[in-house]
Amino acid sequence: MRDKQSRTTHSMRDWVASLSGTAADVVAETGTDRPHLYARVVASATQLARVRARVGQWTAGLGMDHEQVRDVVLAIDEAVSNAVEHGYAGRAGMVTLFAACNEKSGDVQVIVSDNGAWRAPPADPGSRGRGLRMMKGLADKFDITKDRTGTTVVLGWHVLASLRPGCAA
Amino acid sequence: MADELDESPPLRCGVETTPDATIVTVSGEIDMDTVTDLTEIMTNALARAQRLVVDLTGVSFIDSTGLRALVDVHIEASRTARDVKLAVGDGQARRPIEISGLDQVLSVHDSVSSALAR
Repeated sequence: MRDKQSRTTHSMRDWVASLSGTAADVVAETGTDRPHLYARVVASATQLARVRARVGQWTAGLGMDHEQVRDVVLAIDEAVSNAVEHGYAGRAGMVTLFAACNEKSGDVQVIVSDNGAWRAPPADPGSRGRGLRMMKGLADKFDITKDRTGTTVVLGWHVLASLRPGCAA
Repeated sequence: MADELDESPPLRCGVETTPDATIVTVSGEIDMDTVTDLTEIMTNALARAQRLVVDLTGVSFIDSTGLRALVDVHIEASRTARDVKLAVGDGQARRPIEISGLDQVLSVHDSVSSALAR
């Protein structure tokens, strides 16, 4: 993704400026000048496999172990699925994904945000509740904010120093 | 990402009917994009069998959307006095099933043979 940074800098700056609360803190703490993953994808189920592949590659590149990579990939899939199903509910839109390694703590921090209007379907079969519960269980840190501008999910994992050579300060 | 080729995650399902049960063998990735195929195959298989075993040992990914399909077929089976068992083993499906607490709800087994033995 780094090679695309010059092209995406402007829109990324806009996106960062739109953040508030926990998500804004995450970006302030991790910074955007270090290697990170930033992607804007169409809010569609067809994008999920691609997002998972990209996230898996990025987290494995940091040196995270196999089980943690699996948890990060699954939690991010849940967050993006959530945006597709509830944030936009079939309407066109974009999902923004940001992942970075905090230089001081070494923690991996992830933001998944959309600009949809959160709504539960008339007969929610409980799967989104399950998705949220899974994110909470998979990540060491979980925060979700829904307001009229959209939904923002923050996920975080503590990574042992020995397992993150790619995030060395 | 948008400039990359659009590749759907491969999901493969096979159906085998034995004297004991109908076995649906699933491999690949189950998500919001692929789950419809799985739901259709499981629903059709359940309609024609008293006993269904879904072999998930070869699944490389499943999320809450896929789990909902498993819960739905479990509910339908209970409603019609039929039996659905899952073979999970040490596969990738185990972690999502456990983290969601569904190992307490669904009938989870190590293999197809152990699912059939019960």
